[in-house]
Amino acid sequence: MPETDDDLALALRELGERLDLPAPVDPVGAAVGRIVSPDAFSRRKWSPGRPFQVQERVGLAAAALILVALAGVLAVPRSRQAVADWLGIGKVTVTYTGDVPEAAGRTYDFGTPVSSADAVATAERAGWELEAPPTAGDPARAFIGRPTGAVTLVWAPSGELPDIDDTGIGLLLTAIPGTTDAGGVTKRGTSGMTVELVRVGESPAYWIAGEPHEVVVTDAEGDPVHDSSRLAGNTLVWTEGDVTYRLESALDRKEALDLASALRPLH
Amino acid sequence: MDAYASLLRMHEGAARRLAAVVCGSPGEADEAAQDAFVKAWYGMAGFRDGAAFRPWLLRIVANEARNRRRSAGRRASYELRFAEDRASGGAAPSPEAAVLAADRRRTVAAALAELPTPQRDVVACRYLVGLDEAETAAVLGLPRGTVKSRAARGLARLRGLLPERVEIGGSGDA
Repeated sequence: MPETDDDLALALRELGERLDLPAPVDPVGAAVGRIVSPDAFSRRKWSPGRPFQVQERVGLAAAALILVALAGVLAVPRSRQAVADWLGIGKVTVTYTGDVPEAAGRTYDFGTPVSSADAVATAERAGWELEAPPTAGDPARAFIGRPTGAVTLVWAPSGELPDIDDTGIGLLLTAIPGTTDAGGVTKRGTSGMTVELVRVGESPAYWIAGEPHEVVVTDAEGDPVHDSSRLAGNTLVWTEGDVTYRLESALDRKEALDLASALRPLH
Repeated sequence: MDAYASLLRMHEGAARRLAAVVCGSPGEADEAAQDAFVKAWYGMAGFRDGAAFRPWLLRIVANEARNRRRSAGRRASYELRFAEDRASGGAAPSPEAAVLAADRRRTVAAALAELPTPQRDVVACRYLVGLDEAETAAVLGLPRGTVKSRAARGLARLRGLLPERVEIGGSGDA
């Protein structure tokens, strides 16, 4: 029999390892089935399977990317548990870390600047349709290629679009096609960052607000590119079909959701 | 939804084990975990304080398991099952050693079942599920100091129960 508390703890841990549970009935699958099938989700517009197949691939990619992006942080035991808890949706991964470094300057790299028409054409050539909220007016700038295949639209501050933390930007919308496994965005935040699960139309979405969070873009090889685009606005992340959208603004949750729900093809 | 399922898969094992040790009934574990996963989805709006996801989810699992335990009433027995020795690549234990080890497990498990529920919840979370002190506090909704003291008292009480069990010769059926 155990002679010390350590021995007793060891014996208990051994019991835990040998805990004999019935053959799993897949509680996760059963739970998700109960969530998807009831009334609230019964009128989803997507065809069964298709977006899920894409998201499954993307989810695997996101899981792989996070391991790369957070390897350095994982080395710090104190933040290991925090980092281990993450939320991912589409091409965006949200992580909690012990800290977020101070912004090093105010330089944003959203990719290669192009005209809005060229951004639309780029998306069309890649087989997807770029959408934007008509109520926001025409975007002031458009960028492509960061992360790979993505299009970022930028709106200037206006009466309806408050300046995001004195950045001179009122709204940032990044559309990331999810048809490849490489490339994506990781958002890292402190424990002051809050994440809520919401919905944009029929799609689950994350509303990320609170303390500043860092955006780390991963390149086509899946390597994280630090010191890239970084804002401190509230962010809404969701997927529509093959495309993951990230909408960053100083709007509150309802305003952002209204804007996101009203996306229409940009011409 | 796929993202949510992926997230759950990461914590499924801990959730099932937690549900089992809190309920004291392996048969209830999956149902408790499943109900908790559904509740977590619909309660995601409550996940607002930036707290880590795992303790938040496991707390819902623990609450669901405790509700089931309460529903079962006082007569419900605490009956966990534990696997026997399996070949794991190392040297197989001798038959005598295997019998002794199995006997020890049954004895410890039987003693665990006799602990007062508050102490048993803490001991089970800490050692059978493998949660650390802070996680146990978050999952059971207790101050960290309470977790520490209940774990210490629980271990002491377990120790007091064990010698008697040894003399009985492991007749307790875990």
